[in-house]
Amino acid sequence: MTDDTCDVIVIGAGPAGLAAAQSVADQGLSVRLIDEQPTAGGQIWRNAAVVTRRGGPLAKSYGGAVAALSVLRNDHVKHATSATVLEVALSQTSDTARDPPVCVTWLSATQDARGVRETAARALIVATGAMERPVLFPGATLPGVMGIGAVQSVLKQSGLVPTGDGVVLAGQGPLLMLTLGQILAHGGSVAAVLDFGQSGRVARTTSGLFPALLSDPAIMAQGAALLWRARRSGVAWHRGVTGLRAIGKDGIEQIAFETGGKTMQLTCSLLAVHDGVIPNTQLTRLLALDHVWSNAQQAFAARSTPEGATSAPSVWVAGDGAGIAGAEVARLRGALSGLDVARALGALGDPEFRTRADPLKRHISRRGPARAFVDKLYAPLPVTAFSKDNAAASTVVCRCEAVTLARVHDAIRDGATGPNRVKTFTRCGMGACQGRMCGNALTRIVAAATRSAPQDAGALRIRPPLKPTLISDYLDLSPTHDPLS
Amino acid sequence: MIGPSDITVIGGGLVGASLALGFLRAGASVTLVDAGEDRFHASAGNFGLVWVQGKGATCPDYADLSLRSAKAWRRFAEALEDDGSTDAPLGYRNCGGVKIALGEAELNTMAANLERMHNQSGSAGNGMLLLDRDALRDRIPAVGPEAAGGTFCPHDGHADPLATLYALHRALRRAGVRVLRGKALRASVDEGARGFTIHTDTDSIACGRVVLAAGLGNPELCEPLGLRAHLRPQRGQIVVTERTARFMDPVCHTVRQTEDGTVMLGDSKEEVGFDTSTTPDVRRAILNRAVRCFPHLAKVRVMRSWGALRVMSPDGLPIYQTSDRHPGASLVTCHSGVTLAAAHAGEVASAILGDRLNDSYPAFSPARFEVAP
Amino acid sequence: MSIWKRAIPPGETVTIHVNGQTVTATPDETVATVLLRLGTRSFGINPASGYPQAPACLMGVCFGCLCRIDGRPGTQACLEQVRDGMVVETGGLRVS
Ligand SMILES: Cc1cc2nc3c(=O)[nH]c(=O)nc-3n(C[C@H](O)[C@H](O)[C@H](O)COP(=O)(O)OP(=O)(O)OC[C@H]3O[C@@H](n4cnc5c(N)ncnc54)[C@H](O)[C@@H]3O)c2cc1C
Ligand code: FES
Repeated sequence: MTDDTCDVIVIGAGPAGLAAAQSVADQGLSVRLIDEQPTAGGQIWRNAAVVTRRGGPLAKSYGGAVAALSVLRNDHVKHATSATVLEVALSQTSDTARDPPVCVTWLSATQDARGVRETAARALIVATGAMERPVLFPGATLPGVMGIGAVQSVLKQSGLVPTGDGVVLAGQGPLLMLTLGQILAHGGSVAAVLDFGQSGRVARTTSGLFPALLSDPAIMAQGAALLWRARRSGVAWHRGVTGLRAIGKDGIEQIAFETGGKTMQLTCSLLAVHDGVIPNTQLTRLLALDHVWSNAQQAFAARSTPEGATSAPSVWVAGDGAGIAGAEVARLRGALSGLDVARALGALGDPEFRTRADPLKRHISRRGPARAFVDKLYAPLPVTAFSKDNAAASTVVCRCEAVTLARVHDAIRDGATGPNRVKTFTRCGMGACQGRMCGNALTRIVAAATRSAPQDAGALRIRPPLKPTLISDYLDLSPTHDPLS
Repeated sequence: MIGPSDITVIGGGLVGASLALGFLRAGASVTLVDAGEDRFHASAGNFGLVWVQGKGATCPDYADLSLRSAKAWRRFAEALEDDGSTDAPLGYRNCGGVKIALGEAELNTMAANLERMHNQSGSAGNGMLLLDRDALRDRIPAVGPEAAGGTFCPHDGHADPLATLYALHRALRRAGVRVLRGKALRASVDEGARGFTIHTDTDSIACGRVVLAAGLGNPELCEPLGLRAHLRPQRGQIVVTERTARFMDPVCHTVRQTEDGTVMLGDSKEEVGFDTSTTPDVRRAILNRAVRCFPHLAKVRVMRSWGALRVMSPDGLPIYQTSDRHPGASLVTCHSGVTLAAAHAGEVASAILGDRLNDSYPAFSPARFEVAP
Repeated sequence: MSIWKRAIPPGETVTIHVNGQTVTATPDETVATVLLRLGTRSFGINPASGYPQAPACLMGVCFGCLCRIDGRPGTQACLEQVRDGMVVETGGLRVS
């Protein structure tokens, strides 16, 4: 019982998904593009239509958005916004045209077309992007604590910036610098930055990677400009910070931290934290694809070929969801995976594929060294970097089920050897977000405590639906036979 | 090779962990071989009912065992809660259980079945009642208009199976039980038949006695020990919702509101082999029935669904067997590991230690599956 | 008092209802950003901890922003674009 059928379903309308849709549609194949955001563009081009029309400092980071979004007007592409994928069924087939192996169940939450839908396809491209790595410290769940990327999203989405004298940014990474610059450029204010980057590392890594850097002057110039603007902005800059705590009753009121041997306490109305981004693997885990742990990025991503083919025959991954590489590489990998899918479906011959794919691959590999540099420069901090206080009752690993780090450690002591057994024992990862917010930390905590490699420690199993769904939405699907009777 | 223990239990699910606790409390030195998280589906994926009604409709011994275990559950739970072994209570409630009939036809079938059971000795003691439309509403006001009545049994109840599993493992660990992490590949009888050696993927261990409690993993371990496990997987899909205001006190056989307010909805019976996936059509059927029973659930959100494999014997009854050939080896397997947990930690563990398993439970001998020549 | 301020003047506006109050918003706001702009700290009470919760990610992964929107409980406010006449109820304490 399928509402519609198409050649290729693309999940995620960020740079990767848009480019994938474009290269699939270019070969005359039909595409269903699904994204849960109200507008296309993904994280980097959030609210793209409005921001690019308006211009201004934000629009500068939207280069390429207009061209990428033009795919939405392609006759071969049907775009569903506010559309959340709930589950995906894969089947084996020898004839993908007659018997499409992919069936995606999704919830359309638009005003006029609400309901659960099923779409069948010959191939699936997962381009669900990245999310900020959640970080652990006491009080991190208080209202008023959010990601630095979240603050940037508020700006991109709705043109709001934080103001007042209680705004603190903490952590490390390019996004910290970029967002700081964007807040200031838009008349917002930042009182302090708690820099968790390890001083001295810059010098160490730069020496080895300098040649690599030179191969991407754009990245280098960007980085220097960011640093300069931050210096000039006059925010209090604390280095070598540890022992971060957020304090407050119904929301954050203060933060405390240690630096240079003393404890500091600041009034705080917004604490934004960041330690890089990680692939959002919810969908690829649901599909039980093979995943690989990246030591450099301290995160799992679906195992894939350079073209994005995965361990499942009709599934490709593209973009940051396949490993963090930034927006431009996401776009290139999206385009490449689209070509590979078109080839697999017989719409593109081998020689033609190579003619189109080779330049993309060259572009991608040219950006490799710069990525390696960023990965080194902002190597993910240990799980305990923000706070070593394992016992603190307010250090929460799983927000949804309020499972503390102390309880996770108890469960491991009581015999849990992997994330799923910790989940069984403590409910960690059983809540509404289904482990999105705790999964990465949980793998790292279990691996460290059991002295195993994260690859072997594994990750939380993901079950359908991918997002909590009203029973009434499910039942609006017209009933079929009753398999229980 | 790890040093010997009195008794090795293979399988750390609800059955194996309950037995191990029983052995431990009887003073035996116990080793538990536990393959870890991925071979645990039934114990982690079950519905959490401590269920008596309808059990053993054709086998009074099973009805009696279920009833005895249900009656022993409170003490079993309290002991695990008291000895400081868990901070999460097991959530056991002896609230009575209701099977809801949707429509008159279902009610009539239930009435007939109940009548037949009452005519059998053994199951008369379980106190089952037929509920008409109004009696059902007295017990559970939230039922919808299609609910025509049902059956009620005061001994039914439910518990949090995950908290139970955790409490068992915690109690075992803290009492110093050796837990061997690994998959048991083979159990062999030692030279001179004085004991056994268990070979796991990482180690091996010598023991005087061995108890197989490895669920669907039992069949591949039986043969050298002179045991027989006729088992197959039967998939049950379960759906769980977000927390919602309490709306039922007795538990229903396909709708269970947990202590923390989530609602579990079950469950299908599917013969699909070793496949734990979920399917949209079964999920829809489960949700459909749940909403017909409790219409307000339509506005509650589904959090997750999963498939778990029941450990099924051909007649659905437990298989308890001590090997004739090697009397130190026994097999304990059943489908209702939650219901029978209290019995396994108590009378069944004692029967094994006292060499009385075959005599105490003749009805559960695998001989019943062997066709006479 | 809200710390969130408009950096870009609003264009077109719509009217929505937040906890019974009528509020002006722009169509490129999401329910989550409107609530932040209004100074809402707690969006709801976490059912497991009993403590207030609020948005942490603004991209649909943390579930801290759940509200009742147009009668539907547990809706992610950060993924819900504002529409004229929308009815929003938070489940939490209002600190502002
Ligand atoms: C918070 C944040 C801030 C960032 N800021 C910057 C920045 O300022 N500069 C920079 O260079 N890079 C930034 N990055 C990185 C940059 O966003 C990525 O490199 C780039 O967007 C990757 O493109 P993509 O297409 O792979 O993924 P995305 O752009 O993330 O697109 C994925 C899309 O998939 C959708 N999706 C996910 N799951 C589902 C589902 N189950 N159903 C339906 N749809 C789904 C999402 O809604 C999203 O629209 C940021 C990343 C994050 C997470
Ligand atoms: S703010 Fe995180 S899901 Fe909405």
